Amino acid sequence: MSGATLAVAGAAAGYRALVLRRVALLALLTVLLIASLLLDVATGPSRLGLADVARVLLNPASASGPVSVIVWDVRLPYAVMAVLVGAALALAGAEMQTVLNNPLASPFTLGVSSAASLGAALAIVLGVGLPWVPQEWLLSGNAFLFAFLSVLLLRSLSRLRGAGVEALVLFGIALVFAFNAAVALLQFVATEQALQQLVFWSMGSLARATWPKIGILALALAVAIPFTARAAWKLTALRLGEERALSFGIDANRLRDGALLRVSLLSAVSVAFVGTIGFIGLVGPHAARLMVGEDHRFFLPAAALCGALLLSLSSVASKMLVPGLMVPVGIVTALVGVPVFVALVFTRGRRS
Amino acid sequence: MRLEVERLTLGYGRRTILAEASLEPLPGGAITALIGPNGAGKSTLLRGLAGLLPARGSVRLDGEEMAGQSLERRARSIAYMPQSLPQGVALTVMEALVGALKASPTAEGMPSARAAAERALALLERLGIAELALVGLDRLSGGQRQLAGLAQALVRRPRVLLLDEPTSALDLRHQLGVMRLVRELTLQHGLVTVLVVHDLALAARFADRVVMIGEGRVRAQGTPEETLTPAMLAEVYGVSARVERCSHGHLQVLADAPL
Ligand SMILES: Nc1ncnc2c1ncn2[C@@H]1O[C@H](COP(=O)(O)OP(=O)(O)OP(=O)(O)O)[C@@H](O)[C@H]1O
Ligand SMILES: [Mg+2]
Repeated sequence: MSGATLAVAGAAAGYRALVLRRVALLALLTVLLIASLLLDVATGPSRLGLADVARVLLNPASASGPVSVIVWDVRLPYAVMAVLVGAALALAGAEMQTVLNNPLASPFTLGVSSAASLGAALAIVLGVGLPWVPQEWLLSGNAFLFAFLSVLLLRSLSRLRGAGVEALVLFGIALVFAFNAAVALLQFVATEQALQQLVFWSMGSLARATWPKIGILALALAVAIPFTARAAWKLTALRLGEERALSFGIDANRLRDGALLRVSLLSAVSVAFVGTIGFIGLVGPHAARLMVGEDHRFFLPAAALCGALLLSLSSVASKMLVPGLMVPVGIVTALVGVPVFVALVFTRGRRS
Repeated sequence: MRLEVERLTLGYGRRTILAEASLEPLPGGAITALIGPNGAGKSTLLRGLAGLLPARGSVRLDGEEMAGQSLERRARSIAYMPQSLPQGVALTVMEALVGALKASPTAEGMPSARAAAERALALLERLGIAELALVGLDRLSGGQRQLAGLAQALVRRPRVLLLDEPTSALDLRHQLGVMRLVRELTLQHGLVTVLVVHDLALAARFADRVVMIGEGRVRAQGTPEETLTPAMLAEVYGVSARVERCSHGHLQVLADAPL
């Protein structure tokens, strides 16, 4: 065999191995996520171990009332919510970073969370909300609406006079400041009680997880994921530059609009239900990129898995950090995430 | 295959860059080189031909107006290689090629992921960079990046090939290799090939036609002998230059001094 054909045979085998390695990494992440989910379900102030939890789950009739309540109404919904929110935020962040061509884009950095806080603040401080939304959903409803609208606002701002993608990121950052100022103003005029409620709301917490909320978030994911999957190749090609993508026949604006719609849905639902959880949407995608690169067939699921894993681990840590107390998970994500992330960056750097 | 360009006006926003450019019909199986000074509008014209800029005037492929066609339809016949590749992309050369193929249907339909990988590899071998297949785009040298970018255009097997400076960062051997490959593909498949080059000797040697652009206008077009004259070079580039034939009979442009 000549040198050239040898190189080709080697490259063919190498490419197959590369694809396999990426699939294997996805599988590994899935296993880790399941392990973390189990650990999350098995930990908590009430000292119920995995065995007790398993007994309740496998044989609901055998469990006594309080144990069953703890498992079904506290442990499980928290743990599942952590996984779903983590996946939704990281997936949203990943799509955002690709279509905005900016590694700093995330639902948090571009104002989605701030908008949700503003919506929540309006509900808490002024009691303003949508008329047809029942009282117990007023907060979430408001937060969702504002978060959702903020992305649409971002989009239409950038469409004015065709300002372009870079402008969109700048607008997003400007929106963060605008929303935060509005929230601060509301805080300033709020009663002490409202203020406390607002501050607590802004710290993301899984303690608000309920099965109906989980159902809605799962539905949002189920609606978004097929469209995301269909766009995967186009998103990969978009990474080669907008002009090149256009020449490949990709309508970049339409791709971006679709992605931003999914981003607004996923991040708005997440933020509305659990409040501000900053780090995940930014770092989930970065961790995924370091692991599997940017072939979006692997990158998108890896981002979702990384986000889910990070938030799930954070949820575990939030119960262990202060004995007997559950720290709001929004505080913990960065504490857990930063070391994981730094470790990842270093191992990656060493390997290459 | 035949590309006709008539009274094409292109610009960015309100600013017009290229005014009423008309080209003699570009036949299939021939290479046209766009030459001209920096900022003259070569890349702009190429973008216009690729349908990436709002335009007035007409670009027709085999008599069919390109402006009305959807992006996806156009991408089946036209491939365009921009002047640069973006930085900070975590894709290997292979992944980028497979992505380019799977982004939208090509003239031959949508290949399976496996077929796309095979096609990508075969092309890398022809370009002599099979050993770069699994290297990240961000780890490539300047010239290697250019070859990877070229591959992303070629892999779609277009009927019209638009290349913006495919050889500007390449060493002598790769310059020849790329130009030979482009000529081979052009002849073999009857492609309409338009490329921007700054190396006038390369243009003279490989192009069938040369279009000289200066300050947003077509200043000269025709065979290399017709367009590459000391008078035109003085007028458009502002240099005094000699045009001579080397011992092999190839046209050489020797720039002596700026005017
Ligand atoms: N995206 C853009 N927006 C606005 N103006 C542009 C843009 N791209 C190019 N121009 C302007 O259009 C003119 C022609 O640029 P073009 O890129 O076509 O030049 P060129 O002939 O390809 O030059 P070079 O040899 O340096 O690549 C320049 O004056 C440039 O400033
Ligand atoms: Mg140019």
